[in-house]
Amino acid sequence: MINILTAPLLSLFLHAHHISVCEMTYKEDSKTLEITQQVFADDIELFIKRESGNETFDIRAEEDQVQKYLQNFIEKHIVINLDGTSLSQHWIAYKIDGNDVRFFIELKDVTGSQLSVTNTIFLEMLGGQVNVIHFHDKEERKTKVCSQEKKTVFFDL
Amino acid sequence: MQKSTMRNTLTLLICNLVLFSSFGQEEETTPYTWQSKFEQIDNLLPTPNVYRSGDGSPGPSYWQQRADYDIQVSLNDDLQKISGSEDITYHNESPHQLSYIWLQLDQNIREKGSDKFLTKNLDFTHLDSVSTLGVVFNTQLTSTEGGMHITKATDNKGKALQCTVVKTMMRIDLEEPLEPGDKFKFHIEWWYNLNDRMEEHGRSGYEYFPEDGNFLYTIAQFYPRLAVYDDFNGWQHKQFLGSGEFALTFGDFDVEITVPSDHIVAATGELQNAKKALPRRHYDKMQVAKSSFDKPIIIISEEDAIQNEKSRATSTKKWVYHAENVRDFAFASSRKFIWDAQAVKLNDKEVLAMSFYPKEGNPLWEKESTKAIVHTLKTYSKHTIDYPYPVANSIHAASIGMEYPMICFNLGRPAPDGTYSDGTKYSMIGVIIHEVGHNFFPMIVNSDERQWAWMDEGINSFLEYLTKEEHYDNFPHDRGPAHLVVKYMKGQKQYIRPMMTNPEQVMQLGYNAYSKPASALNILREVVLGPELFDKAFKTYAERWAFKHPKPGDFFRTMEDASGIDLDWYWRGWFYSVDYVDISIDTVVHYDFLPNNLAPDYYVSSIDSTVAIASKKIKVVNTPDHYYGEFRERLNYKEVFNKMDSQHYYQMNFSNIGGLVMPIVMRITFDDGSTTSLTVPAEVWRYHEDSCRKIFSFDQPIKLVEIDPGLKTADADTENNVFPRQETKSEFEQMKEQKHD
Repeated sequence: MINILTAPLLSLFLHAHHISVCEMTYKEDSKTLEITQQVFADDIELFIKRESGNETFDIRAEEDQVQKYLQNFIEKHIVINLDGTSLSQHWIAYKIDGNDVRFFIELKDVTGSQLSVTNTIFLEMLGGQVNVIHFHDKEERKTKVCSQEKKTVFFDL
Repeated sequence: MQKSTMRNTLTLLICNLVLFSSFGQEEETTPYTWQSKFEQIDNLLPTPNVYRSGDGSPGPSYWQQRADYDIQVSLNDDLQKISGSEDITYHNESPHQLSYIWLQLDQNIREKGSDKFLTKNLDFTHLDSVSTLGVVFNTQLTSTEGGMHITKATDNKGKALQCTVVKTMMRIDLEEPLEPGDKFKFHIEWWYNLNDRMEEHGRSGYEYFPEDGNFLYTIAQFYPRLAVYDDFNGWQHKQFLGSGEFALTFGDFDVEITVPSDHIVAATGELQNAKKALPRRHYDKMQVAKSSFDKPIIIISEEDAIQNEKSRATSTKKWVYHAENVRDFAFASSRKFIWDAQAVKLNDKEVLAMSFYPKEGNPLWEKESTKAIVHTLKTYSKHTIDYPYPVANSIHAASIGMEYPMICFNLGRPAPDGTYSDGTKYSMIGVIIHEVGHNFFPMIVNSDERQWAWMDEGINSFLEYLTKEEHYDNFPHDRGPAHLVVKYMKGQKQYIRPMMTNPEQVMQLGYNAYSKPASALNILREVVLGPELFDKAFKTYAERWAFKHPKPGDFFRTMEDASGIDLDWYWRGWFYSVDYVDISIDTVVHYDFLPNNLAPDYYVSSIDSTVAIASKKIKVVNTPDHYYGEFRERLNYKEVFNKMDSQHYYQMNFSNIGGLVMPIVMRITFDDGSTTSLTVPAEVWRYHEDSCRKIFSFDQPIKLVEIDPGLKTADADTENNVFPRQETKSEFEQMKEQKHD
């Protein structure tokens, strides 16, 4: 059948359910929040082509041609507030592995009581998209889901 | 080098008896529900009968229907329309009398308001969604009238047949019942409008190239086709909703394709009128290609194709094809085709591998397409049966990969300036291998795609992986290796369905029907059975079911029957459940003997520690009489002590966190740095599915135990695979460090 993993346009048409996974780890000692966000390479390539109008955008091109787009993408689609104040992101890197793209970003000086996470990745583009957030602190892992209906979720520190 | 040996069973038994009292002291474990993970799956599979045997082979009275087609089809290049007529001979090989027969009208999925669109789950909160737009486009906006129009249906005497169209299926009521062994000949005429594949999507249709005003047609599901009638389902006439693909009957095809006289056609089967259809120079090149086994021969060059693009013939030409023992027929037609071909030798068979592509596919296609076909035929033939057909075609079609017998439509288009990324190249090679590979599953080993996607997509993705491994260096796999399916399997269970789920109900079909079965078969081959046992059993399945209709039970049963290994636990875990693999090594305790076997027991360190291998001294005592059976010889504990004293004993406790029972693959590192490998079969979990304990003896102390060091089992959490636990850097930390370097 249609090879969905590698057929970008059809993958959008055929999948009713797209899932991205975001791992957030709160490091109490350093007061940092480490974020690893995974998305599908074909989805993000298409998204950036549309958003930027750059039809030749190739996610597997050299880093200096790609990073700017990816950094903009993540800053726009993952917004984190700490007790109502927005936190700025520190870009670490991205990595491509098969059809997976993973982003690594860090938030510093995270001291407070509650984080709000707004993850809007592909919510505007793909029907049925859900963004799963796993939040780890010292004790436990909590999982919440951002979707079109509920774009923001909360975690207590 | 093997640095240690396991002691014989009797010694271990004695050791166990000595240690027996210590087990009673362990902490209470949390109660768990036994989930029958090692029970046979017999109650899930159909009862064997004369049609399908308990060993997984076709039974002594196995039967299947047959449909032979004689088709005349015309492609209208001005209106993008197909019209055709066919004479079908349907052979009733079943033991049943049939009072009606069912045909598939797959094009009806494109009718406005078809079930595909009516049943699609959508939210209108985002108008930019491709899914939403696709449905709106199809149901509201498209000016093309989709769906198949049947204009005539008669028996072979010209008498009109009673036809009832039920969405994507059509029933023909027979005036006289069709007796077992008899055949029914009938005639159908029809037409339908082709879809713009680039706008409306689809497995077939056309792409328009505005620069030169030409169309590239990839035509399939273009004629009313017999549904499968078998011993298992009766008629397989589950409606076509878009994801569950096709179930088709084998037969011979004679097809005349009428196209504009300047078009080049590629199709299922062998071209019967090559001399007439092809200009002399192309015909001669084709003869050369038939004996070119080392490289492709260009039959129509890029220059020729560019010249041909400018032509606008008003006359038509017939291309005549014959195909034997195929389950379907498809073709491609365009003025734009460049054409190359290479011969492949498979034992006593010679096959012609051919690629057809527009200039937009170059320079990538002339380099990689035919080569990928050749690689596929070689590897798949080795693992199944020799490719039985005379040709294998790969046709360039942007954005999709779709398979038919002897022909498939494949993506992979460079940028307009001819440059292409590695991503474009490898996804194109991957798709060609995958789609050509579908010739074996499901075109030859003809499973029911409408019901089970993994039986063709999953098995095919597994062989696709083996082909890439065999013929390409460092191919960037996106599925196949065990670790690539971990993220999916450990994900949120609410978005995961078992592989034994109909494709229309599956979420994340790409993982469910392609990646997970590919990894499952790869793990079965490399970890559970080993290549030798696996390959024999897998080939047996292909040989038994080539040109037949296998079901899941036939696959499961054959794999066990030919390998000699009970795999019901494996099918249960990987195919019927959404469990994942996560085995943890919880404790390792070193036991050795007190000097001279004298002093009492004492702990050196706590056994709860995960940061170090704890040590405990033990004493061998005489085994109480009641542990021996009647008349069994008594062991002298002093002798036992003398034999055992030089060895080092380790008790290891494991827990199964992910739920999937799997062999425990281990690497042991000794104090001197040397290593040895051990594998404990999955049956170690058969008493307690969530925990197990083992004692091993080695002739020197160990310092490290690792589970699945080669990432071969899809174990989701690698931190608990190491004892003593090690400070491991997360991927995040590694990336951060790399950045600072």
